[in-house]
Amino acid sequence: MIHSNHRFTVSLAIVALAATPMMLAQNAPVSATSAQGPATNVNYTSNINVNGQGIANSCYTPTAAQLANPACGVDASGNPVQGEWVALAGSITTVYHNEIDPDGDHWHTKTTSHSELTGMGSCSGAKYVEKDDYNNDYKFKANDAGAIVKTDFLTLDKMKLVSQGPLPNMTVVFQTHTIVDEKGNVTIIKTFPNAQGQTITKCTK
Amino acid sequence: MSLVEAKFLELGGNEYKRATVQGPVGKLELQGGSHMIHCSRRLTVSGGIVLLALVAAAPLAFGQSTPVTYTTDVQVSNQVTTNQCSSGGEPVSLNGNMHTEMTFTTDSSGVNHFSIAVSSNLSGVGQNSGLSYTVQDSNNYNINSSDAGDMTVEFRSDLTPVAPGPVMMLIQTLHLSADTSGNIGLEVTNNTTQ
Repeated sequence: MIHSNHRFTVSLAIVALAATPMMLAQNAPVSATSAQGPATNVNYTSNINVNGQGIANSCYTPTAAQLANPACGVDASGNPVQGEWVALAGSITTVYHNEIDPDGDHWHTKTTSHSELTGMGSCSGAKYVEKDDYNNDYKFKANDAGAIVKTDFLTLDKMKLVSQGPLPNMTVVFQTHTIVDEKGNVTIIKTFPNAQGQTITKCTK
Repeated sequence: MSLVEAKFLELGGNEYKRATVQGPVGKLELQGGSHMIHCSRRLTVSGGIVLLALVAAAPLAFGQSTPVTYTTDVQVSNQVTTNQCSSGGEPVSLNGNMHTEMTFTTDSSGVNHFSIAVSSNLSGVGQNSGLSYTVQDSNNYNINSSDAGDMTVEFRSDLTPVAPGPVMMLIQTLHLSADTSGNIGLEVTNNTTQ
């Protein structure tokens, strides 16, 4: 379950069906179109454009002069934040493939996500860069007919925003929700931390 | 199998452990696959009392009780990280404990909802500098499945020097598994730093 008062979700749904390869690049959730099982050992790729999202840098205290700027101290929706809002931009590219165990009773979806993001503080103007790869292997059950049993996985992960100036680096917690339905549809939802709560940031030199 | 993984196996670090159950009534160690409690105390009760007891117990049977928390600990012994820092950094030998807590519920559709929390409490020694490092972090994972839960994830945490120095990011590859018998698997299969 995703608990968020002001959550941003970047979602993509990919129909991982050999018969429908044209649907793989869609960035919006799509409904299932076939009851066929997913193709195995075929790499699928999709891009998530991160734009208009961000995180609250609670390690930074804006000055009174900076707070005079209406864009300082609030998130992209105008909600107050602790510290300053750091707007993120960039892309997350996910490549995944499906495998089935030799005995045919379990599937694996193996994902590699490559993210390249930049951030900019709304008060300080501080710039950050992030670049990393994230690898996961999700195992789930096949029914007696060899089809997938719907399973979903939620993982918390961290990304490091490296400061390009004198401010500290930030470690940001985000959530990845991966859903595999009975028809092989794979939905990936990235939830960044928000202004109202959740684990936000940790600052390191 | 990577060198790190091989070293870990050699040192006996690859462990799947029977969980420790920590419930509302205390803590007990499981020795087998079942956690049924066998009570030898003999009671004489009337049919009416049995019926009353069944009615009283019904909410518990339908999931309103506090989920049992299953825990397990895996010792990390001399696992050496592979340094992939773009500038600086060094291999670090890690020692300490990885703690896992798991709860689950099963809904009316038969879907198991596993909630797994992993926390690390490690110390390290830089293989080049001799510097001391610490790692203390935690992460949460959830699996919703009609089967047991199984996934391999990357657990990122700060590898912080005790003395002033650059902080590295430790990436531990964890194989996590859980089932409705209270078994928890935690296996550290790789350690790298960035």
